[in-house]
Amino acid sequence: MSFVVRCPHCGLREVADFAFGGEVTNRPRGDPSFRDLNQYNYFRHNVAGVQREWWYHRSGCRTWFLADRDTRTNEVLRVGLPGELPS
Amino acid sequence: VSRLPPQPGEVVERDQVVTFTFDGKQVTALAGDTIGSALYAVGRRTFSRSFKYHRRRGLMCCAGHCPNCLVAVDGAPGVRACTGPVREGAKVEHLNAVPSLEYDAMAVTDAVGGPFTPPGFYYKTFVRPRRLWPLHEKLLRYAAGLGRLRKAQPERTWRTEYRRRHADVLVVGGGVAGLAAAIAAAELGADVVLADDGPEPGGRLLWEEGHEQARALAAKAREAGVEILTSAPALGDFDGLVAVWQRDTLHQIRARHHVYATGAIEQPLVFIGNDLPGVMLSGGARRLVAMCAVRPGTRAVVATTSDRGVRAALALQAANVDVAVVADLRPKPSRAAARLATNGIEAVYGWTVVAATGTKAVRGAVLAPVTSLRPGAAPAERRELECDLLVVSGGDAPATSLATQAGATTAYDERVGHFRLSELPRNVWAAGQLAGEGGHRVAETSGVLAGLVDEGYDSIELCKRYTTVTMGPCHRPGPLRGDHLRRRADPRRRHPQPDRRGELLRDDDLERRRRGRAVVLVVAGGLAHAGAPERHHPGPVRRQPRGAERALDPAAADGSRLLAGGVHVSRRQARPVLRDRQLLIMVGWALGEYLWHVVADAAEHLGGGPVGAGAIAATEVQRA
Repeated sequence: MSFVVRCPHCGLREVADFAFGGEVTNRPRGDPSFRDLNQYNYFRHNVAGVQREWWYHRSGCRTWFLADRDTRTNEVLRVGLPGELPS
Repeated sequence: VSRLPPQPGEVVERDQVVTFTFDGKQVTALAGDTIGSALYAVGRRTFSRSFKYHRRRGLMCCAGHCPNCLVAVDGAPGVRACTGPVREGAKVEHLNAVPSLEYDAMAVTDAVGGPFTPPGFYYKTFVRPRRLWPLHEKLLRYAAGLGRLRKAQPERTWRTEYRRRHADVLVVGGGVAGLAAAIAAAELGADVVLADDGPEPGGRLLWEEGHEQARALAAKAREAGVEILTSAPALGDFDGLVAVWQRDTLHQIRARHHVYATGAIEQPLVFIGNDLPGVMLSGGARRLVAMCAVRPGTRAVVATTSDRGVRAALALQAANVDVAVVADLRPKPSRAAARLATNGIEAVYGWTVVAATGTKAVRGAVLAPVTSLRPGAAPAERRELECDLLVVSGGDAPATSLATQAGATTAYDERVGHFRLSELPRNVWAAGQLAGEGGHRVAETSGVLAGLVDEGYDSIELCKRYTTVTMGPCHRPGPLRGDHLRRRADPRRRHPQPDRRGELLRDDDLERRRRGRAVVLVVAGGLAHAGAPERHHPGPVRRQPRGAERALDPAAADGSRLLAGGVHVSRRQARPVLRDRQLLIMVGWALGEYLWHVVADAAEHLGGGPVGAGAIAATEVQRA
C-alpha cells in the first residue's frame, strides 16, 4: 500500500505521513437506544468504493481532516476540513 | 595488451593511468575503464568460477546482466567487474576458487563428479544419515557461496539518504527512446525526471556508433529541464512509487505518468560449451570495443539470429578483429547483410553454432545447418573453425520486469519468440525496445509519442494509435504459463540440445522474478564502504530512522561465513525503503540458492524482490 494524500494545509504528501481515522460515523443524538449505541460502536459500512473517512496529518500540521477515498484503488478524490466538504 | 587505437566515443582517458591489484598482481588501467575491461585488456579471460561445477566464467554481457564476472573489491564481494569502475589502489580479488582462479580444486566436481551430481542435485541429499549431517553441512557450507565478508566491518562514514521527488513524468531508461520521451514531455512544460543505470545516458547508442547522437540528446534533455539521474537503476515500482538507487541516495519518485524505456536484454544462444570464456554476447563485445577500446579477440566467429550479430561483425572487423564467418540462423540474408559481402566477411545463412570447443577458453566453433538439427533430420556437414572469440546474439527480449511490476501484462509473441508487453496499466507507458520497437529511429519516435501522452493523449486508444505499444500480441492475451510452455515447444526457438550445465540459459519466467539489478546492502542501510566521500545532494533529504540502521548493522548478524543470513526488519523500519514490504537482507550465493528453494513461491509473488548477489524483498518471508 502506497499512495499520496493531499493535506488541506500542507499539500501532497506520502500516506505514511498520515494516520487513518476510520470512516465517518454518525453519533446518535439525544437519548439513544442500546441498539443505536451498539450500531454506532461496532458497525461500519466498509464499502468497496468511495468512502468518507477521517485522516490525521501525523507528521505534518497535525490536523484532522476528511477525505473521500476510493477503497478499491486508494485514490483520494477530495479532501477538506470538517464542514468544508459537501456531504 | 589488447588496447585498440582511440575509438570514437570511447570513455577511457588515455592520459590518466590507474593502477589496482587483481589477486595481488598489479594491473594498469586507464581512467574510465571498468575492472572487467582493464583485466580483459591485459589478457585475463577467466573472471570467476561457476558455483556448482566450478567451470570457468568469462566476460559475457559486459552490461551487469549476468553473474559471470563477480569479484570482490576491497573485501566487498559480489561486485560485477564488467560494470564496476576501476579505482586507484583498489584491491580486487577473485571469488569462489581455491587456491586460484586458474587452478581450482573444486573443479573436480566438473571433471569427475558429473555422473554423481546431475542437474537438480540438491545438497539435502546428504541429510541422511542424520548423525553425519552436521559434518556434511559444515563441508557444504564451506564449498557453497560466492565470497566471504570481512568478519568486522569498518565503521561507516556515511549513510543512505532518501529523497522524495514528485514529478509529472518519470522516465526509466536513458536510451534513445527514454531521452526522446523525456525531451518531448519537458518541452511541453512537464517536470520530468529521467533515471538511467549507466554512468552516462545514451544506452545502446553509446556503443553502437551513436555516441554523438546520445550526447546531443542528453544535452537537449538537460536544456529542456529534465532532471537526469545517472548510475541510478530503478529498483522497482511499488504501487506507483518508484525507488531509484543512486549511489548513497534512494530517490523515491512519484510521477503522474511513468514512461518505461528499459530496452531489451540480449539473449544468449544455447549450445555445447556456451559457457566457455570467449563466448560473448554481441553487445558485450561491442561495449568493450567502443567504450573501453579493448580488442575482444583476434579471430571471431559470429552466430546470430538477428541483424545485431551482423552489425557486431562489422564493428569487430573495424576493430581489427578477423571475423572468420557470420552464421545467421535466418535462412536468407537480410538487407544489413549486404555490407558483410562488401567488407569481405563470409556469411552463411540457415546455419548456427552447435558447439564451442576448448578447455580454458574458446579455441574453435562448430557450425551446422539448422535443418540438420531437427529431430529425424539427416545428418549434414559441419564446419569447425578456429577462433578465440565466439560472438553470439539470440535476439532481444524486452526488459519487461519493471513494467510488469507496475501492473503491465505480457504475452508471448510467436513471431519474435519472446514475451512482449500486452496491456499497460493506467498512466504507465512503454517506449523503445521494451515496447517492441526496433531501430534507433523508431525507438526515438515511439519515445516522443510516449512523451506526448502527458499532454492530452491520455486515453489508451489514442496511445495505441500513435504508438505501437499495444499492437500485435496484445490482441490475444494468453495465460502466462501456457505461453511460457509454448515458447519451449516452439520449433523455431529450438536450438541444439542444451548443454546440461548451460547455466546461462535463462527463461522469461525467471527473468520476471529477478530484478534486473542486484541491490547492494548499502541501499537498505546495511553495509557501507568506509571512506566514501560525503556527497552533496540536490534536494532535501531525509535520514533513515535510526532503528532501521541498527537492525541492519552487520555487526549484529552472527558473522558466519555466508554472512550470516537474514536480518529481518519490521514493517515500520523498512518503510523508507520498500513501504509495506518486509525486507529480508542476505548475502552469499548459497543463501540465495537456499532461499530460492525454500521460498520460490513467495519470491514469485514479490513483484520485484531484488534477488541475486544482494538482497531480496519479500512479502511473506520472515527469517531464513
